[in-house]
Amino acid sequence: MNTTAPLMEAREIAKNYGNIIALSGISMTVEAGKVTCVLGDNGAGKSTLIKILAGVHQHDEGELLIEGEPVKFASPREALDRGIAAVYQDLAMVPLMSVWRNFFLGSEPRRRLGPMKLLNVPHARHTAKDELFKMGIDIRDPEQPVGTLSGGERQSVAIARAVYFGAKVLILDEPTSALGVKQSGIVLRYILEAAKRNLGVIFITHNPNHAYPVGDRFIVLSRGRSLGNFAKNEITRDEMTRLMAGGGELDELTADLERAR
Amino acid sequence: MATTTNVGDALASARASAAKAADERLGHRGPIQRLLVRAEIGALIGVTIVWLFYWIVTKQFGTAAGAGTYLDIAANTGFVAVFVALLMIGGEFDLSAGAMTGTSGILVGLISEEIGRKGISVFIAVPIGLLVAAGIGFWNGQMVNRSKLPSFIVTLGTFYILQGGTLGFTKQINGKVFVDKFDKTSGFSILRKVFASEFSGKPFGARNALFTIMLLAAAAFIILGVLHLTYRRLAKPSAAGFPVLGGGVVLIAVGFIGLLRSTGKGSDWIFGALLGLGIVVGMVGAARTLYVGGVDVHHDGSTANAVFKRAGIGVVLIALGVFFSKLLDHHKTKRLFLITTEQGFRAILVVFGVVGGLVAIGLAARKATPVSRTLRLEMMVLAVLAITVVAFILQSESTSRKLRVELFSMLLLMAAVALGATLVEYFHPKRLVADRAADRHGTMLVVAGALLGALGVLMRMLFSGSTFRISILWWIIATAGASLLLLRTRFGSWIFSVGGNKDAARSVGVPVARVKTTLFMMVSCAGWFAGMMAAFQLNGTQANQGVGKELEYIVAAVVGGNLLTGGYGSAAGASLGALVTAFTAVGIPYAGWNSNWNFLFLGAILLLSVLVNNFIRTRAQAARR
Repeated sequence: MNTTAPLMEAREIAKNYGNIIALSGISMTVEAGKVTCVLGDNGAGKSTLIKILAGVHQHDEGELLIEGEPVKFASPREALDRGIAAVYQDLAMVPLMSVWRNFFLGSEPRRRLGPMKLLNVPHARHTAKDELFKMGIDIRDPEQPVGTLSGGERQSVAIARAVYFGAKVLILDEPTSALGVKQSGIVLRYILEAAKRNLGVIFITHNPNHAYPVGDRFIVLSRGRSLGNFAKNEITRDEMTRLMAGGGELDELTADLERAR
Repeated sequence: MATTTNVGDALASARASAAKAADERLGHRGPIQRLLVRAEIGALIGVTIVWLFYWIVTKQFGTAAGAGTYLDIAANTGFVAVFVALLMIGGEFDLSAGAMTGTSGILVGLISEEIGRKGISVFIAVPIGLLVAAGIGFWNGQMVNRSKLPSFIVTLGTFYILQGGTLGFTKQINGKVFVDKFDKTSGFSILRKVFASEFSGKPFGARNALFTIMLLAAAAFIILGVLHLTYRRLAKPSAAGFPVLGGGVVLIAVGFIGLLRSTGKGSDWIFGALLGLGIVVGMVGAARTLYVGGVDVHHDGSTANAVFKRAGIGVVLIALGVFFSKLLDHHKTKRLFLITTEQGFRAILVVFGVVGGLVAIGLAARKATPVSRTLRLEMMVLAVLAITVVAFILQSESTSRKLRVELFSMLLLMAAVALGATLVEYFHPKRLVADRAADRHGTMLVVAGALLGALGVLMRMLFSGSTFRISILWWIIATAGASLLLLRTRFGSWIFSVGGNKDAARSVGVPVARVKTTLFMMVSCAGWFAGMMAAFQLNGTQANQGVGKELEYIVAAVVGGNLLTGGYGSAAGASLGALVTAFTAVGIPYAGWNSNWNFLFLGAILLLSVLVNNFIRTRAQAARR
């Protein structure tokens, strides 16, 4: 394993669904302790890209490298085992289930009782409570269903879960899209906290105002292709917004609307 | 966008405010609220009410013989219903479960009798049946997973295939539509012991005394456990409470022994009163010894009007209940309205009036809590008085021995406990913060008490000379096993997640397809077991056996608090649901009513229980925010 290689690197990744070219020629890197933002309007291919990075789908062309080693994940479980944790828009939370069960889903702590392996419930309950407290959320009762938490709290549970289980790369799929200003601020702070703990963070969003403050690298997607890969010092926020909105198209639209008044 | 704030500072302040919030907010849920949130609570209430109803209305329901009958019926449905509930929590249905029981029985019967005239012993035929059942379950699971069709449709198909196939093959091979003379096969008698043996114990001398002791001990454990969960423990037990506690225990002992040894009716009431007084004093003493004293400060200025309104409704309802208990003479069996006799009608009105009245007064007491401490005390005392009044009126006016002696004693004991609880509450503030050790001890005490009580009832039933079938034991084992699986194993968490949000489950690595297939196989194998129990009991199987049971399993699961859409529920609840349907199946003939009304009752119970479950659950969730 090459320790000087970036945590994760995508080289010319492409994905087709039948006739439709969902992604083509996408290249990006993720480094430990840095935040890479993937931007683009709806339909740009961001979701498809994450699903490939997280092991839900397989890429058709190009290479995906983890710490310099080419991989092709057959399932999300494989990606998880390699330290790639994804937090999806729908949060991968089961609303009717309690907080601690959700927290430990897929990686439940067990202990032996004679011939049987049972859930270590007290450990699970107070670990979930403690980890969430460390992130600044006080869950009164870890038994309460996750559906009773607010949107920002649920995002934080998902992030705390990924961090606890030793993720090396954290992929966040539009975490702030459904949140208000204050809650978005909370989530952005957690993103930076995760980066501080030396994780590599991939932050997908269509909101340049959220991406710019926290990102170190930016890649802008449009209709399955990359419009450019920039470091923070190579692009300003306004330039990025114009790029995302289609630059020249936005100017034309503004002119048209002016004429119609 | 401000990123100039230091992230470390931001998080530190977040943690600090969270810690402060922890002090301010209530961190502790009372035992009643915790009980109400459980999925089984609706079924538990249903079981109690329906049992009480049939106990009042029929002669045989309270007897051990009656218990033997309805428990056996409940066991046959409940054994499979428990696993159908697991599958339902996992988000799927299995409509072929009922037909599976018939097919298993026929298959095993045909193999052991017809194929190979030497008579293949049942020792080979029975496991073959299990393999076939597992295979059908596997088929169900694979079809659902791969075809992505709703399981309702897939298993409906399996159901028809099983039903038709079984009928067809039986007719073809056997010439008849059933398999009989099962008991002539080799090895039958041995396996019969496993699947369908019976137990009948003779009453022994000390049985009644032992039973009463167990019940009283169970009650003591439960009361102590609830107190532990509600109040704040003292660091060291206070010596001030010992004399009171001691006094209470002495009174209880004297009263109890006096009642045990009494023969005439004259002085009974003195010992009963001593017993009741002892309970009250004992509770106050225990609280004095163990818990922090003081006053609950909880005023929010709400008015007393709502309280009085509810209390008023409660009193009126109780008066009505008592009135109707006197009005309709017990002996008249004239048909009053359609299906019920005067006696039945009176029973319904009495139960409705009494239960409704007590609930209303209880709600009044709750509403009184934020108004003032004394008002709450007054409401609770009113409740206690109401119970006592009901007890005495029922006792003097009713011609039924049951109501006169047993219900009377039960009501008086309830009143004593309620009075004790009222006084304890007046002198001790409720616990506001979590205390893990006390929670653990309290829960253990309550569970131990409930188990002890159940054991006592079980012992008394088993040794009463009536017969009980082993299916009941298998049913209890299945319920315990499935509950353990659901609540305390990794697989159980997976079941909840697959039913609640299977995409979420898959994305964190839960093997969704494997979980579903396993659940389908469990249901089919449970169907096989139920088929074996029936076959060994009836010495044969009808080809269409079990057809129709698949809906009963689903009804039992739903009555037990399982969500049709999956992701939430309880295995024990399904067993309680099976018990309720068994009560109805057995109680209606006992009561002398037309047994066709069975379906009407079943439908009403189903609808009512779903509504009650939803109501309680929404209430309990909302109160927690």
